Amino acid sequence: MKRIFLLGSGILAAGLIAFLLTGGTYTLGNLSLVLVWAIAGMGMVIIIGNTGQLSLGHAAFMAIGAYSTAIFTELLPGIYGGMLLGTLIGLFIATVFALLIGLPALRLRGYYLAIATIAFGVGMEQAIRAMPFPNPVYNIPHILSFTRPGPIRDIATYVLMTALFLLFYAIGLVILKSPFGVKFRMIRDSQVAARSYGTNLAANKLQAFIVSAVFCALAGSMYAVTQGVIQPVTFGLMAAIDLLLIIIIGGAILLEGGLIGSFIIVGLPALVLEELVPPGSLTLIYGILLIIFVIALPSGIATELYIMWNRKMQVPYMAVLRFLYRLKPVKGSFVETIEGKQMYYVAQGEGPILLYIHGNTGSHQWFREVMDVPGYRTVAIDLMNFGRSDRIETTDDIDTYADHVAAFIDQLGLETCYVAGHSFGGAVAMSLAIRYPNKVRRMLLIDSAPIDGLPLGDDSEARIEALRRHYGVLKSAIGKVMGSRSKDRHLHSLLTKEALLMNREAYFNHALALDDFDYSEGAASFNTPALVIRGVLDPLISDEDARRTAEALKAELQVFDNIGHALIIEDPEAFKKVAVTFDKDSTESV
Amino acid sequence: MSELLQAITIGIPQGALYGLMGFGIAMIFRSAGTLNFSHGYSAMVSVLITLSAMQTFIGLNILEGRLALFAAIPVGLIAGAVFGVLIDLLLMRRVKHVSPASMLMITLGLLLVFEGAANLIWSPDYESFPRLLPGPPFIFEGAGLFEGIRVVFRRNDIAVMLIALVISVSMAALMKYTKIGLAIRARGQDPVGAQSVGINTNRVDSIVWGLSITLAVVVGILIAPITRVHPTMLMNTQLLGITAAVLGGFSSLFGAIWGGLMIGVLERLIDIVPALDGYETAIIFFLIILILVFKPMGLFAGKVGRKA
Repeated sequence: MKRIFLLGSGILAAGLIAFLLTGGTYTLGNLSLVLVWAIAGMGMVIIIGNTGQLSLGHAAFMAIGAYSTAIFTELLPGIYGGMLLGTLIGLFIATVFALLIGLPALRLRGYYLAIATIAFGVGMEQAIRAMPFPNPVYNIPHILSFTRPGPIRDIATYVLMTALFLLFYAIGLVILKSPFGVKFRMIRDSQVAARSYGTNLAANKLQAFIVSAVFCALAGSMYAVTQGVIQPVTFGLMAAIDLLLIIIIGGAILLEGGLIGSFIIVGLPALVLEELVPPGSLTLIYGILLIIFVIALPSGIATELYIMWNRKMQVPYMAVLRFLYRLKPVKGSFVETIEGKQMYYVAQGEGPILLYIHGNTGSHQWFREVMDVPGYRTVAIDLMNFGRSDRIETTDDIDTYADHVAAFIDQLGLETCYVAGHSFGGAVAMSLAIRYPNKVRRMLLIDSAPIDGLPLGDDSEARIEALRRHYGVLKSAIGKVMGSRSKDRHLHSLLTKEALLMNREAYFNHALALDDFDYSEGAASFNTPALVIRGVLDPLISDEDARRTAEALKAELQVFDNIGHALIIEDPEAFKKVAVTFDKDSTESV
Repeated sequence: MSELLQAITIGIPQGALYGLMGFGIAMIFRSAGTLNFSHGYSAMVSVLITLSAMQTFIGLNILEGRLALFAAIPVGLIAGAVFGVLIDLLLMRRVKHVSPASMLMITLGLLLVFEGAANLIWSPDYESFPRLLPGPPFIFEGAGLFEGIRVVFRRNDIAVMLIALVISVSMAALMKYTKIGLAIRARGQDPVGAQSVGINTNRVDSIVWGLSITLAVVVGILIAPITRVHPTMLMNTQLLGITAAVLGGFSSLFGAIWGGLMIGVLERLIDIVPALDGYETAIIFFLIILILVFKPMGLFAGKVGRKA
């Protein structure tokens, strides 16, 4: 949805820019044509790039769409329905032809399919040429003929084409993401493997063929609609090659490739190149481009951009996001801890202090929904190196973080307080409670790192590096930790942005720190009342981990059904209940 | 009856040209492993070169009339051979081991390059090209049993048929009796095996490319008087050449020539039926789909077998 929206606003913005640059609506006509070919290009992306069936005959489907529209418009003059009817019939005829041609031809592989489809394409062109029309060159009234030719028509056409493009883009996206799309790609990658997985090769190839034929037929119909004139040669061998060029240069895997390719192959000549280069040399240029792309950039621009975006642009992108996010005003305050370093915190309510310590890649925001615990003044901090607190040198030692928290408690002028630690923050809380026993009155551990450390997996370095270098990976990791709440898009994106604020040098060191610590010995003399809670669905902390921790701390273990790693956001009310009763229980017992 | 015979007499030389085209395409397909969509277009540029050479000879007053044509033809043939070798050396060698699809796409790119170059360096206009054998046609008037039958033989067609025959026979001899022919056949059948007995397959590919495109230039020069010279002059011939190769089955080189003859005659025969006038190319292309599906090894797969 977001992609469609972005693409749509991009296209409209391009139209606006073109309008402003040229001061006229003429270029909008060219851009409409780009969108028309982009729809056909998306059809090619589906059949060639995603199903691996090298078809060179799809220009014929464009011809079918275009001629149906033209004929019906001519048969029913002055009726807008005629054009629509023509378009629909064109789509229908294209489907029938796709069945007729695809059923036998898709049994062929590689070159033979290419020959059969090119024979179909050229044969169709020749057939149209020979048909007893008054004239195979059709002059048809413009679709938006309720207005005279002029700016309004250009703009309306452009908007209509944008809408159609987006509609078909969405359809293509849905198909490619659906099980059908997966099957298409399986067929592309290995017919043998696809078959051994139980894919019906013939049926799935035919589906892809028909879908792409419908895309091309609609493009053809819209070609007729936007251009008003069609002739057989428009959909001949050169059109077939143009379609191929579009996806080779644009990129055959992603639907966006159709748009990029179409812009380069159809748009640039009309917009700029025509005046810059001698007439007739475009074919030469595109031939050379095609060869260069096949040899040097076989995956095409869209795919290369996609790869570049994920490999190279993510770090700068995250830096920009981080910078912008930092600009947002904050409501909390700062307290100086050790060596002049500032620690950020927010507080709410009145009563004894309940100190919240967040997890790795977290911040005080993780507690935003549990700030109003009756009977407490809740204080949520950003640990050093996290959120808005200052950066410190040491990133691989839990105790250092705990020292800063201890200094923070002193600075607030508190003797003691209640502490709740989540995940990584649980380790900090344990360090604090064991090494500064009088500062912690009671401790609540929420899916905390276990008492003897959280061992580092074999491939964690690579996985953690990926978190650091890719926003999408980071976001999905955060989503996993958020459990059922990851459906809340706003919160998900907020917490991911908060994660961006963490010291970038600390990602791997925090994992090392979690691997490193072991408070089992310290826990022997531990006698602060504590409660360990765990969500049953927690992917990080096992039941065994939680039991071990509770046992070592002589604490009670409370388990929550249907909750993952983060009770505080998955079910804030339940957490608040725990926070309130936890205190009462312990006061009674003391 | 006259019509039928006339169709055949015009169809056969035409078909022979398709066949020669198909022969070259099949040869590249067999050994170099790609379907060459630029086949006719590289030949078209060579024909343009031939024409320019001829005009230069005439313009410089070195040679005159027919002599200039005959002197220019070798220039065109050499140009074709050079194109073939260059395509193989500069482009195909890079992608040969990547994927067959990329080779195919490169040939499509070359199609555009050749067409663009022809438009740019020469012109998109139609230019006439002299016949090899000018002069009035032979007219055969039937007598006796064949009373009323009248068939016209164009002189140029006779030249076409003779040349096609000579080339076919010499190609057959080349394939069968020379070491190069043996190497080409070996490379087509089993590239690894060919390499292991000391055949330089890269060089064989270059030779195949050069030879096939030279053949296409011959076709271009022979067909030029009819189509006239322009950037898309060989487009249909090339497509029908591919069709001929399909009919013959890519596995047999000479099948392509038989396939070409059949297409040439069929084209003329369809022409006789008034209702089908204009549809001949379309019908042939739709037939091709059927043949590809039901007899993918070609019509003669069983009979001719692996002749080459």
